[in-house]
Amino acid sequence: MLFNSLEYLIFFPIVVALYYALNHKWRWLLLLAASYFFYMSWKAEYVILIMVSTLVDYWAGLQMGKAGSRKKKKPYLVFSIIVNLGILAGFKYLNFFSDNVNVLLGDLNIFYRIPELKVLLPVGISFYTFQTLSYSIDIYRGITRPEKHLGRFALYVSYFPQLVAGPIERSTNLLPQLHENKPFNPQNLISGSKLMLWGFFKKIVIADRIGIYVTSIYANPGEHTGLPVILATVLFAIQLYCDFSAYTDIARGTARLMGIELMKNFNRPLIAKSLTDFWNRWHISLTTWFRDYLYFSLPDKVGNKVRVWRLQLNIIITFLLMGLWHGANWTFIVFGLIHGVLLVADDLTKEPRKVFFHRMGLTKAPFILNSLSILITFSILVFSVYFFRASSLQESFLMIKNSFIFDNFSRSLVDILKDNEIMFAILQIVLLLWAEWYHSRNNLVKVIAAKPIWLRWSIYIGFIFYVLIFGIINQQQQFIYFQF
Amino acid sequence: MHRRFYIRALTFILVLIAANILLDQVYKNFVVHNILNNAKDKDFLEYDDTLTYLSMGNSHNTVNTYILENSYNYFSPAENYVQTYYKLKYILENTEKKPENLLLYIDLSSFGPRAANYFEHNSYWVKYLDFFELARIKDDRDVLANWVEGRFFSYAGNYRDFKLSLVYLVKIGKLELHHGYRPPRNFKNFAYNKPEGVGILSDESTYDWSDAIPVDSTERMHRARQKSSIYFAKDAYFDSSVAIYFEMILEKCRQHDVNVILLRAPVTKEYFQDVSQMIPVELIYDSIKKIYSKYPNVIQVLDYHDLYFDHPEYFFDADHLNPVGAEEFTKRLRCDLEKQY
Repeated sequence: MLFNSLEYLIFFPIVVALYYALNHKWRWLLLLAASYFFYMSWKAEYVILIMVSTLVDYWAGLQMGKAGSRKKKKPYLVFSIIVNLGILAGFKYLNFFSDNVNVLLGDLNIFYRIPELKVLLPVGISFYTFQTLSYSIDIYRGITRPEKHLGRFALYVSYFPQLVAGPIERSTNLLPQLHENKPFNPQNLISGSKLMLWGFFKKIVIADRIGIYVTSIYANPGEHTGLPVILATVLFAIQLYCDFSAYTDIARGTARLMGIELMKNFNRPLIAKSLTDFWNRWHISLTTWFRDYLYFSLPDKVGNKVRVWRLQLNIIITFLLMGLWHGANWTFIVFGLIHGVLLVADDLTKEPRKVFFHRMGLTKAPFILNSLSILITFSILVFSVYFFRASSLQESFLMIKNSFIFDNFSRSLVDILKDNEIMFAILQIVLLLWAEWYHSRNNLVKVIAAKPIWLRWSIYIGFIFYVLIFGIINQQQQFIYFQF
Repeated sequence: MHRRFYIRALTFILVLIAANILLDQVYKNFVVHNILNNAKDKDFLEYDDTLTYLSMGNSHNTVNTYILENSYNYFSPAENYVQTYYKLKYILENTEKKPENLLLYIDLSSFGPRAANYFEHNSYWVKYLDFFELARIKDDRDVLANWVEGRFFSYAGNYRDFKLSLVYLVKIGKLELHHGYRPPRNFKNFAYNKPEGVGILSDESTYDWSDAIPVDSTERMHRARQKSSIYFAKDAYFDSSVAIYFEMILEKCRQHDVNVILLRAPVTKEYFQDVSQMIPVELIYDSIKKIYSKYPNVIQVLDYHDLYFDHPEYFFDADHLNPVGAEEFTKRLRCDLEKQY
């Protein structure tokens, strides 16, 4: 069930209405049933995986709670990690692994083939697996206490607004909220609806519109060169942001309707001034997950001393695995590797850059310096998404190579300028960036809320119809991050 | 406690519903596709000649009914086999009309992903289509969103139609409709550059392109590529749900003793070359043949795809004939059909 589907537009108001109609005591049951229904509408049998993950972590959590010391907790943590990562590996990475081993065996003239596992990737498996893992690790570390109510724990794992594409919630944030009695609050309803509407704007007006152009170019790699390829890749970077942040907005908006506050997942990443800054703003729930549960766990000492090179290696390893988290494909590994290596380079060149900017006199012109920094960071992002968007490494390299072939430059430029949909999409992107900038300074929501009712309503109703009229309704597209 | 909120929320929803009804009605009554399609429906019901040939399909169908006598051209823009099936079903089961022959196009693009998944003008088609049956056949509940759009939110996602309608409504009065035939558009020509003053608003029907500056082969290839990439992608060229509906059309005709004549519309050489590089043309032809071979009521298959490879000037764009091309094509079609009888 997609957020931008008719089914969801019927499903979520019913759930919200029933939620407030029910006594707090039974709300978890409603939400759990709704969450499983939501998931099962895609592929019913895969709900078993969520149930297995839930039961294992519930049991492991309780055992760790009883165990006391870290040493005694460890076997349960290991068990939880093995089961969760085992499911993830089995359904997401096994075929990738066997494909590569088969290629290697073929190269060595060994004619044995590991058979392919005929399974469909369960939607959202990377998200809920990481969410349950964080619960087990937090109990092991003593950050959180085991949840005794199986139903509420199951709901924490499967809460439908964030089940298939995050944000990857921490038990410390979500579980206590699932216990609280949330009385009906009109402000939550209004605020949640606005957030959802903004999400729909980003998804169906911008991301899906851009997606049509990007798909037309990437569906036929090798057929396009120069400007269209560059434009498609630049637009894809923006599509990725609009698509994913739209999902987060709709998820957070839906949860807020029920009085539950999910974590913020994006903070204007397109205006990041460095790669470090970018990853502090992009998919925050995943970045902080890797930081807290992987990066901090990797050894940073050689002997008794903390070594800088070791820390840098840890960054690269973390980002490499973060790339792999996205999908079982070398393209994602390279995507992660690029970011890992460039983050290290970012760190290494911090001081020399400062000196350079100072000598160039750019520190006295912060607007130019900031604009340059944003442009460079965005260019790096665009370069890396050649790998994110293409279906194979060969395709990525082909698209990069084709980007530098400008034999039809003027004609391509004319075609692009004549393409009303692209021009309209660019206009919407400008509108989005302006709105985000304005909101960060003046809180756009509050500014509109302070207007007289007739104007306020005109703005809301006008915007709803704007999204409906200018949205891509007929060519509904799946959220990009569903595949992860 | 929240009384004020409830009253306001209710008022807001009522205003929203009222605005939606208004916009929906404006779209349904104002948009050019609806006006033309509804006018054609009315015209078809009033048609009382012998109906030897009923020609259906999308804008590739340029059968000139002035030339092919006793025929009706019931094409509508962007129509796919799903829509054709339900409209044909309606004609055969709910009207007195009984065509002797159905002229049906089997162009490559008719089986492609765009034709399969892109349902346009739902506010018109909602009266014919059984979206629930379609959802079952396609195994895709999202199709029902098209029904909702057609019934209640006809304007949704269709901002281009408003723009187009503003332009075309000015011209509609001048557009002729003869047994469903309207001359194809003529404000562009595949073989020529557009001269100053020729455009969507100019009097296109009489424009003579022979004085215009021809375009070179590179430009023609480019124009062809622009069209082929709309219909096809590397791995997407034959949709099984479309094939099911294609077969359902043939079956429906068999049940009602209607002969079927299958046609491949003329396309430009550049377009066909480009498509051939992109998708396995012969494989698709074989798949189509496997379907129609089962039906004895398919009496003729006329392949005109290469008919005007040497006449790029007959085309509006890479895969659509212009009025001159349509006239020449229909003369040839008439001749071939006469041979059959």
